[in-house]
Amino acid sequence: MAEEREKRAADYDRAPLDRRQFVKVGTTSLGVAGLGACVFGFRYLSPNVLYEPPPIVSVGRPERYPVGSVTLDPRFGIFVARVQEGFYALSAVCTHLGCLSTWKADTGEIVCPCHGSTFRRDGTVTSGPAPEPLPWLKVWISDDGNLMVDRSATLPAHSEYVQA
Amino acid sequence: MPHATHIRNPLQAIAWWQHDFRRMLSARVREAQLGFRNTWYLGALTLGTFTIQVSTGLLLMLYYHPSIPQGYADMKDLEFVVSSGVMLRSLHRWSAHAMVFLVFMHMAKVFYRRAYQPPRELNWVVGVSLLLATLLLSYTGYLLPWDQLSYWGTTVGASIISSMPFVGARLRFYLLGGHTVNANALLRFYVLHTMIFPLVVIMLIAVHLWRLHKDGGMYEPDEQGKPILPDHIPAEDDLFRGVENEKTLSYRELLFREIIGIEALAVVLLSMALIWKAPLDEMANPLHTPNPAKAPWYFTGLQELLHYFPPFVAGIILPVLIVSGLFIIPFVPFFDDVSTADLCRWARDKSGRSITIATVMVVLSALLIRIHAWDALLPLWIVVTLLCLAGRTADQQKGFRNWVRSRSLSFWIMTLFLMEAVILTSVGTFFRGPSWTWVWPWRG
Repeated sequence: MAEEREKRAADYDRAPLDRRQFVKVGTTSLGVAGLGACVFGFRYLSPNVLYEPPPIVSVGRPERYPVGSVTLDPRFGIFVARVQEGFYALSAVCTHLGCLSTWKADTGEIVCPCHGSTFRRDGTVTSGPAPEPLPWLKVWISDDGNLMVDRSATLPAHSEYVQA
Repeated sequence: MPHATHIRNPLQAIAWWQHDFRRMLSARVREAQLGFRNTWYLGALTLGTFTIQVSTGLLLMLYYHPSIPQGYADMKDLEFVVSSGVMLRSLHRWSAHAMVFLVFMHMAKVFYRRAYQPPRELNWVVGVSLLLATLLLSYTGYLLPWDQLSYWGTTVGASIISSMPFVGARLRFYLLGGHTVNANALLRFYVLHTMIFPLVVIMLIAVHLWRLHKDGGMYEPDEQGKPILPDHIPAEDDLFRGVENEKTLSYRELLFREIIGIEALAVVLLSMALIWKAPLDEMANPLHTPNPAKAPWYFTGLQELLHYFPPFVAGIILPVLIVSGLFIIPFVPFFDDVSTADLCRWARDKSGRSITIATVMVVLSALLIRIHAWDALLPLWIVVTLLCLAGRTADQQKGFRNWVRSRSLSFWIMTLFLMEAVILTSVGTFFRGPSWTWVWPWRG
């Protein structure tokens, strides 16, 4: 019995690491590995290729939109508006929580169905929880005469009206 | 260790098995712990709904493909083609609602019995984590049918996340795997709903039951209202000697009653599933928001708050405050030690404290009036009225007013929270129509 205990103690002394060192080395290496795994994990979770629709869209001939109209293009989630000064486009995605707002012709305002925000036809908030106005989007006429909108390019309000 | 040869009948076999699992369930319980009125068996019933969720969920997974538009087509198949498919899906849906409801009830019951007192603080924290995990399970599961309601509910939820300063947009991108709710988002929510959160819940339930046993089984106060601590964990062979006369074998009494309770609940839920179909809207259409777009009922309270406050306040600050408030309840004796009578005494002292309380109340009321949040204001005023009512009587020993006076501060905080939750949820569910305007539900 005693011999065995001595033998075990001798084994312990000969061990390259004592317990404290083992725990230290172990936790450090685990920590480094865990940190690396986190970095790679985060990069893995962020897709490099997205199969989402392109931001630049054509909304058709300018003649479709009479002066004074606000038209929701439901395919792209944008409003195309035409006033005396020219054309402009607004994102229809409510700045509150991302619902798609609609144009109410009878009251002449833009309304969000989710939490009741209302906007003027130029995108400014008139009531409800929306924190910001609907952003203006870049509009131009393409070479073949179609009205184009870039949904990823926002402009300051009233900064640009496009002539047909 | 009771040897296998000691086992003479099936009941002893159960007792032995249970003894080995005694880290989950006490072998013996006191009669006083068993009463229905103590717990209403809410914990066991919640566990029952979770069991139903796991079993129906596993079966539903056999027919569900997390892809667009196949996921929605599978919902239709479950409804019209798969044998018993509509029943399984409805059972999964109603049982999910029941689970959320029961978790809330369980929390309220534990709170009002003050069963969170030491040594049970850790188990209270585990319980609140289970509440959060249950809500996350519901939220992730809500997207899977890929119908209009789930699509827009998830869009709104994801926008709340992106309203966090600095990291919000990034976090949303990681959660959805894209800029909008799309195929990646569906797959990610599927993995979260069917793998990650169920595993988290199962582990938390194990810890919850283990702690319950270690802390002396079901909460039972002594005459002074202090919790009875576990005297000792029954020694290995006490089990068959019956040394503790006041204790009864728990499988025979407790487990039996709880299983009866779970079975009764299962019958109710199954009947509901056979009578009412789980709703399925049109297929998700990113280009048309339904009006009104409502969250499931347990989130309509939050949606109502989102109507009044900016998303960062209603979606992040308030929930974080509420959840951390729930977490710290057992660790801040101040909430329990201060009673309504103390509050009233401070108010009469015209001390700095009374001015602070009055100022907070006035500012809160003014803010809520300014944004026309009358439904959020109502519970606050009810509680304040009750407190003032209690302050006007000093000498009564019995009756309602005295009952009010003897409540603690933590009682009022929790009561206010529950009243707000109930009122905001009912208003959001029943009184909100198109564009979130006020409607009377009985007028068409």
